[in-house]
Amino acid sequence: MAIEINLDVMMAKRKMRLKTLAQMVGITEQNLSILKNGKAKAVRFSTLDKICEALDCQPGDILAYDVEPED
Amino acid sequence: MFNIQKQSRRVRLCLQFLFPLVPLAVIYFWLTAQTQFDILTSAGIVQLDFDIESLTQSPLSNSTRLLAILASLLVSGIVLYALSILIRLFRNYENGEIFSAENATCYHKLGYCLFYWVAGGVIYGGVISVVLSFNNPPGERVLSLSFVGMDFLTIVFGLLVLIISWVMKEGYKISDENSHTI
Repeated sequence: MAIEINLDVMMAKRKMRLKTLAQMVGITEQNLSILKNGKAKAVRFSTLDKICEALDCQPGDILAYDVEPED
Repeated sequence: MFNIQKQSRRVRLCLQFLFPLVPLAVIYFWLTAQTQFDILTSAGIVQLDFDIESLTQSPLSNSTRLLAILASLLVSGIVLYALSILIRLFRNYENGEIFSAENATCYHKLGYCLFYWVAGGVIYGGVISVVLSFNNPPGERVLSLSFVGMDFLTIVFGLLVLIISWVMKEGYKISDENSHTI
């Protein structure tokens, strides 16, 4: 998929641990790990809202569109 | 959800109880057919599509009973296969797995079981008529093949179960997507 998740980069910048962020967002560590590893198929606006609030960032800092090179 | 799990457990236990009973009942029936010990027919538990007395002119010999048991056990294999799938399906329901890929496959296999049952029933009818009438004098041996309205209904029912299996596959996809929505 062309959408990249840069959650791990933002977490490193803010020195936030997975467990702490999961608690702040109100989701399980397992689900946050799925999101962090790019395995998620969709993200709720409410989740994105809480992540942005916890990491003090914009959605664009977490999600990025990477144009795939054409074959 | 809890209700599904509770009822599924009951159904699974009933099916597991039935599983060994089917072959035992088949063996018991053919060993006691046309004797005073044939409780299954006299109690109305077993109702055959064919009449044993009309097919055979002499009392059932041991070899006839043995061949009838073998033929009946082969067709019972379809029932046992379907029961094993149902047990697996209800065990999954019991464990809270409702929309899973395995359950969709179970429905798919159950649909095909109904087709196998119809085909097996037609072949079984022919085989059992030959087995039962084999001791008759030449010229009075019978090969009887039948396809009745109930068989047609079973095929229709099989098609319905196949459609349900496709619906379950779609349900699994939605459920999988939902579980990956964070």
